[in-house]
Amino acid sequence: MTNSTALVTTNQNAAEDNFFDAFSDIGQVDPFELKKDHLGAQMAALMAFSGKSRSELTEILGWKKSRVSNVMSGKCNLTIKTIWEFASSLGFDFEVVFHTPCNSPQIQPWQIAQREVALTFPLPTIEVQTAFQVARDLMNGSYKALYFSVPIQKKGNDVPIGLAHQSQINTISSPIQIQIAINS
Amino acid sequence: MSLFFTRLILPPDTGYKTPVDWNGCWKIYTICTAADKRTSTTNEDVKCLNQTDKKAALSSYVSFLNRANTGQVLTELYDEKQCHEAHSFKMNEEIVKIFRIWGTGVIRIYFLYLPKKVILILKTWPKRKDKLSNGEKVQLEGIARQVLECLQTNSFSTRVL
Repeated sequence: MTNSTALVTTNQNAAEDNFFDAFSDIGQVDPFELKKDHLGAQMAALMAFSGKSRSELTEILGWKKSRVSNVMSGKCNLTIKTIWEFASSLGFDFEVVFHTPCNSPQIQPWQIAQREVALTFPLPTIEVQTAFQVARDLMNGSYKALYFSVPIQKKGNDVPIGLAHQSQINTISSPIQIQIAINS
Repeated sequence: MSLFFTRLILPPDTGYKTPVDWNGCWKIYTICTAADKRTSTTNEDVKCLNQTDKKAALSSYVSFLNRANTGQVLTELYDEKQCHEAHSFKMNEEIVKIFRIWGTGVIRIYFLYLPKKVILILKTWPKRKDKLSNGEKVQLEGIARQVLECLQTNSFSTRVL
């Protein structure tokens, strides 16, 4: 690639990265409005994460439905008391954590829950065993927590799966059983 | 028409910093009509708006991006009036649902849910009337069909710019 071609490509990439230029003539959004919307979104997320509906929250808080909606709309200048009442009614507390604009260290409860799910999966090591190996483990008392059985079509000589070469497994055509054991 | 998709990222000169992804968040995409992000249809939709509606659209996208980033069910993050099914149609024996968010002012954002927590914006309109006209339904359905036909032969990830 020549220098001029590289320059054109770079310019094109830069132009593509700033592709969303439709707002270029309306200036910036008021940062305070952005903060209000962010807060409203977080409060709505807390309600959704808690499994409560708007009408349930209305009942618990003794607020009008419109007030509940307003609080979560991101359009209100919320008081500390409102935030506290809202969070408490859902069984949560809150802190004010200061950080630089480009660094948000906060992890919300719904993100923690997702992280826990991510840590639980994938399931523990999966091991492929022949029926013979499973029977042996059962007799030895070293059996696994869970077994799936997978029927396989077997063809040709009767080499047990556990001893067979991969190429032989690929050509099996009559039904035999393989056990997949999951170690907990 | 060959379609591509790109993430909805608002430019920094709006003052808004698009939130960082995490595992469970919704990822909002926009349609591109060629392999170039500058062909984003959402960008084109906004360009057609007047100044007041543009401001409302920006505020609506900010709100949409903030809520999508929480990963929670969108219909619970908005009022029922604000976020609900706008139109549905049958395609290959399956019902396809198009949802809409009533953002700030008269701005309505129409979108599809796709697998892997992807939200695809189909159209952004300034609407003075709540209900979709037949012409608008046909237009929305047409876009959705084009997208789904494209995704029948291509995986979503291979069309992302």
